[in-house]
Amino acid sequence: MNTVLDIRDLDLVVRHHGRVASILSNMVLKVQAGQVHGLVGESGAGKSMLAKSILGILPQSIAIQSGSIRFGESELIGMDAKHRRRLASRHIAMIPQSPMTSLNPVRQVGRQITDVLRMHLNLSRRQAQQRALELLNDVQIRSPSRVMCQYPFELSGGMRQRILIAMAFSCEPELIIADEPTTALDVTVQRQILQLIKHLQAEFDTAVLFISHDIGVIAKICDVVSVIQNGCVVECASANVLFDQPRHPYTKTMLEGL
Amino acid sequence: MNKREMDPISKPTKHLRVWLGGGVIGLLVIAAIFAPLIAPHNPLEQDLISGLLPPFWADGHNEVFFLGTDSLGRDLLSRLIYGARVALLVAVVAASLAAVLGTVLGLLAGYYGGYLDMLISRMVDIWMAFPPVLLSIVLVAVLGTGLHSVIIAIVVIDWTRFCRVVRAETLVQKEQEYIAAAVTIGLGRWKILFKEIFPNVFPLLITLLTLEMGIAVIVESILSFVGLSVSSDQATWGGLIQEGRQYVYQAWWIMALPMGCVIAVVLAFNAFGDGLRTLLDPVLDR
Repeated sequence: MNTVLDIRDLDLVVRHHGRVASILSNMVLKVQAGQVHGLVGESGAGKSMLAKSILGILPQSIAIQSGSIRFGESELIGMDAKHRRRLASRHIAMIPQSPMTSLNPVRQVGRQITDVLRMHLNLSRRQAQQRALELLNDVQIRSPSRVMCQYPFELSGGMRQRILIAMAFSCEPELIIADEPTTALDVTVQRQILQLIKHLQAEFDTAVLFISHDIGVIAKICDVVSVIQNGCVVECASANVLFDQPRHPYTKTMLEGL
Repeated sequence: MNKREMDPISKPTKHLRVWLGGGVIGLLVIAAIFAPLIAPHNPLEQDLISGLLPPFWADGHNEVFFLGTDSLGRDLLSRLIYGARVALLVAVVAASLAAVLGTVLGLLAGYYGGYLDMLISRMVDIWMAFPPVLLSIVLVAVLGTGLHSVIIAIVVIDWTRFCRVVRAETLVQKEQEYIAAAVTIGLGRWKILFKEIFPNVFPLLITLLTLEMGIAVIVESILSFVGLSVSSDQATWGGLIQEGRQYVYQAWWIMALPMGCVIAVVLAFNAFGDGLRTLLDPVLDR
């Protein structure tokens, strides 16, 4: 099985007024092709910062001190910004945490989808429109042609998240980073969105790094699970094993809370 | 969608403002473009016998001069109509140029931050410490009188308004998550700035632009009042006010009528801009 993402010994620090604090230390994570890899941990454990360091959108105060992030054959750390952006934007997509604010409020939804398609796949305007309609269909949006002309504020959170999922899968990336994609949604919508991600992931054979603080959500969707505590992976195992026989005390406490 | 039903007060008044403001601006535009056709007299034609004639509502008025005449017997209505030309030209050109300059600098300062932001912001601070009217008088004195120097003076002084507001709004917008999303999608910096951030700043810009047009009309009036605008044989509202000032006890309307024009136009620009902002905002409009 191919390794899509291989993170080794990643150290992430935040600098604030001359003081340095560690966010991630000796982070290790391997995501295999076609797998849903869960990353679970409490708030502040460093989950989102890990996602941001893979995507190259870390805030300025946070720096990668050492370690390696390999994506396929290429090392992302130390790569020059332009190449990295080209590579990452085409082959790594993100499903963001807050669907309410992740779409541009003054642009029609359709345009925002076709923008991505046209940029990465070199489609004509009409082809992109056609593809966008198919994608919206794939994410089970009814009357996609109407939704294309709507503004984000006219759509519910669940609808917006479906659109963002459509955008994430639109260029058939090798890896999708889903950073708490269901946290902002209510429970029934949450379930539908999880099913949708799982379904599309299987269909496109995409690797997904699924980040959540909710081990119940992780249990529903993941093949492999890494448990992160205070910036360190404390346990990593396939989902069946982890949920049946958790080894680390932190994992046990989390499972007891389920 | 059902905002219209939910909020019965704001919708009609918003439209009322746009219609009223737009109506007055429309009149101004028509007057300015078709001045030679509309004006009953040549604005420069003197008729020394019929000087200081009162307007139509007062005793002793003359049918030929609808709004009366000035001290040299020139038709006031025609002079007001020709004055609209200067007012409109200055309003549109000066405000647009100031908007372009201020917006570009504001976007750059807000988006790139760091030294560039510091440089531009300090420049704005220093700029705003100068008293604007004094600065414009000095500028026009240096550049020489004429319409182009009035326009340059307004642009040089008022770009800071746009710069400050646009910078602040850019700072707010660039922290939004859709910008982070755009970065991960792979949009370049310029695309993010102009395709993602700029459209969000745009409704605000329209308001500012129309406000600025009103301000430009006032500044032009001030400069022509002190005789630093166009040459004195061309009719301007500020020039008319200045002329009327000397006869304010005998013929107050010579001063009052152009003042009324300035006030009406400035109010119209403000109302129009305010109404237009809400119309242009997709969230506020639906």
